[in-house]
Amino acid sequence: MIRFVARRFLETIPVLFILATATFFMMRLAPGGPFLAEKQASREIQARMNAHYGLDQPLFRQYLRQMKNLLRGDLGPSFKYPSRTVNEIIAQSFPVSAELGLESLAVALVLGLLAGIIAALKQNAFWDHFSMSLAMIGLCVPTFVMGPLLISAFALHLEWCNAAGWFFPRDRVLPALTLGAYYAAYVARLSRGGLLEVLRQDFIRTAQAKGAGAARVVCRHALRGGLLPVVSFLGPSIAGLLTGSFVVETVFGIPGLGRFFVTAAFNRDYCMVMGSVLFYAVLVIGMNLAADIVLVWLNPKLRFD
Amino acid sequence: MPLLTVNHLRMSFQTRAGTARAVQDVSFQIERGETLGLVGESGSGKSVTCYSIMGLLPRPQARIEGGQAIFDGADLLALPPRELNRYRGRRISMIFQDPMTSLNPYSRIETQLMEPLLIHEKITRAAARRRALDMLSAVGLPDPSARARMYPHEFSGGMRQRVMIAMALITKPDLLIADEPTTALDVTVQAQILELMKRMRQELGMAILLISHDLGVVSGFCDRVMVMYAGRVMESARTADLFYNTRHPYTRALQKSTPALQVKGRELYTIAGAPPDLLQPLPGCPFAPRCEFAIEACARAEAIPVEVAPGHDSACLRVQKENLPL
Amino acid sequence: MPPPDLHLDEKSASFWQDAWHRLRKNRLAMFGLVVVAVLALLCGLAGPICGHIIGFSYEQQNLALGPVGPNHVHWLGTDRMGRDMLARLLYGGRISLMVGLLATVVSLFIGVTYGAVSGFAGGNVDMVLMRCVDILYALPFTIFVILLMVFFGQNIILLFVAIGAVQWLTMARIVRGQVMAIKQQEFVEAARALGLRRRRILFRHILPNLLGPIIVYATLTVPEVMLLEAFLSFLGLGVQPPHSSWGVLIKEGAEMMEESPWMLIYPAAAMALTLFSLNFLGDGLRDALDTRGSKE
Repeated sequence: MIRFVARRFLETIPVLFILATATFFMMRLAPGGPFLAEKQASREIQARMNAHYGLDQPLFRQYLRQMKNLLRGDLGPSFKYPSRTVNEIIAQSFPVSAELGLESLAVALVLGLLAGIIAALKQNAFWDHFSMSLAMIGLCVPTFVMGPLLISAFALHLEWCNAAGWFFPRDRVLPALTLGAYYAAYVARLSRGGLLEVLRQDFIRTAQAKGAGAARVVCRHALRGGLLPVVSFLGPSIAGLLTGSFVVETVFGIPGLGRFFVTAAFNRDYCMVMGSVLFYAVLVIGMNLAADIVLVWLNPKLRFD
Repeated sequence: MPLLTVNHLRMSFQTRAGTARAVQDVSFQIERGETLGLVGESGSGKSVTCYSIMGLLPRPQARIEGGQAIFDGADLLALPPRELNRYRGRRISMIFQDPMTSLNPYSRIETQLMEPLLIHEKITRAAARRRALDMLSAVGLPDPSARARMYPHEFSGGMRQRVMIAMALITKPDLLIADEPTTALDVTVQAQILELMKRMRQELGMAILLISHDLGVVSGFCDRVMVMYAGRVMESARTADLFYNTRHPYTRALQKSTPALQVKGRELYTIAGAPPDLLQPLPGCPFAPRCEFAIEACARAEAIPVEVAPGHDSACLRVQKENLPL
Repeated sequence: MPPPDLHLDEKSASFWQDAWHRLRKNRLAMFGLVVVAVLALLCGLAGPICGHIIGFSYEQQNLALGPVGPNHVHWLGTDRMGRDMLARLLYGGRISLMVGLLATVVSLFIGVTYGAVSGFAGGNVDMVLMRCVDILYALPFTIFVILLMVFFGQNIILLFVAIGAVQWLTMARIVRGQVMAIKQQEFVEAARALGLRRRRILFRHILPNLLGPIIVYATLTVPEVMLLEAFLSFLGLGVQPPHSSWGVLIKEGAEMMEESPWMLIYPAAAMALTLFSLNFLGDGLRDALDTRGSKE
């Protein structure tokens, strides 16, 4: 097990390196710079800003400097918000996004598994179609439609929650539902498929021959195998969930990392983009590793590879 | 009173191509402690008969169309699932053909062994574990405490089948149904498993319903044998009578087809033709098209087993009417 | 005994018939198929429909009219600039569906080639190629496409390519997996069969095995791509005027949600219905084409 993790660790370093290099050159090669958007900036001010941040140096020099900083863990300053460094911005906004992400994950798992299990047990009957249809709503209604719709219904008309903000526990509900619905659809589909696959196996018949009731057959025998595709899917998805969704954060006014992610690209905020990309990559790799560990725990056949 | 009485069982499968009549009027009895062998080709309905009794058929494609399976006074076919579960695994156990796919790959051996106890008896986990370990020793697995913590894929085929037997017998059932338990195993291992089953039978005294397509397996193991073809019983008798005093052309043909019993160097004997199409059952005896003794009446009269000698039933019209010498 | 060749013919010829039968029984999938077909037809005929039936085109503005609810002149109402919503919906649908289809084709092309090469080659080549895929998986899609669109201008063709270029990863993995599974079978077959028959067996077996997952995944990729396009339009990066897609319509509708809800409802409903149908069709196809045995 330790060797497995260590090997992953070692593999990660060149990946991050390649990623950083690719991102660096892609951004620098794009037309425009971080300060062109400033409306009143004159040539001199631009030049001074560029010099201040070292953007007038030869490209290769900038690259080396960037790599050196990265190795030190210094993600650099933000061009858009001059008084803050990228490290600070990430440190402040990530916990918010992470909380939203975890709550959305909970919603996704609860709703998705419920729908998927019911659908698998009543295959091709009414309840199968009904719960899968409900779950599909998450896949078919974009977040930027569902968000405003939920706000309109629950916050404005029924007045059960606030329309925006991230202050009270109640504020978590609508955003988590909006973001979670999308993943819930996948969880439902994957768990239905996984369960159907498992329920066809011979050992389910053995369990029935032992006198196990339906609940026991599903919970103790079918679920373990049936959940494998869900875990495989959730690994990389959690990274996306944790870094927040731009749309949900914008619509509900949540100060999360997702917003910074996207606006950084628009603003050519080089350091912010680099920092976000690398942060996201580390998260994805970490979550993939966690998912693989869980997969091995669930499926003993993998343990001896 | 017999332990299990099956009366006129009929069941069918709904397929896209039509209704396949898999079991057409099967009746038999098993006494306490008796071993009954159920022999037939693939498609004869032997496995399906037992799955029907145990309620393990996939619904909605499979439908039981009629009949009873009376076990100790209760008709298993009429019981709701919750009631049936009180018999399954406790009074009637079943072992299956392929032990690899029949064991839960995600669960340790001891967990699977303990499960019937935890379901059916009021017992602590510790006590259940002890009984599981005892059972593993009883079926001949060395080092039970280490083996119990392992997973099925770490075992060989023969060992897995021993585990299945242990799992089936741990609640000391009255009846064990064994669906081709040795077919998926090597020949040497087959003999070991059969020996094990004989030993357990002696210790526990349960009745056994053994399904097989192999006459050899059945001859050394069963008190009585029943031969099925195309969903019907063709012949049933005490083992010795079935082999030495065969009263049905199909059984005779099966015996002749056993490669081990044939003269070396000559062409192998095969039964001409192919098993009938269960979707379009023809009237009369299902074996008639392939039977060397068939007469015109065979294609019209339904093949129903009738006693032709003490304890010996045959469904062959000619044996019943004319005492046809085979 | 029939010659072995005939058996193989039977197996694969009826495989598609089998699959079609199973699909037919799946009511939701059939519903999806019908809906998609009807919508595609309507959007494809947007021109004649606008000309003859509705009488308005999608760009005809009527500023004096402003946004008006559904009535007997404008069946689905008008938008801020007095343009007929139904016409905009049909033309927008055409663009959305086209983007969905073409981006999927791009990802199919790249993914199948990549996956097949990797699967057939095996060994080190396969390992390196798959590692690349793993690395690319770690790239945040949003930023990648945004970067692409921001840098290289907003070009509808580029949109197809950019979106398709991200989706090919999963397709490559699926195809590679299937090719590896088939490869193992093929060698066994090849060992047994005569040299001449091998190519035919290859085609009779590879095609159903490979085509199945490809069809399923392609059908499921289209709605994902359409959602992505809508998201990009929401950011202003997607389809640019004078064209509009459902994503653009939804964005405009979301802005006017309180005063003119019809501007949001119709495009959102159209998109949701299409995505719904495609997803169920894809799921149905997956159930139907699952070769590993069914309860029948």
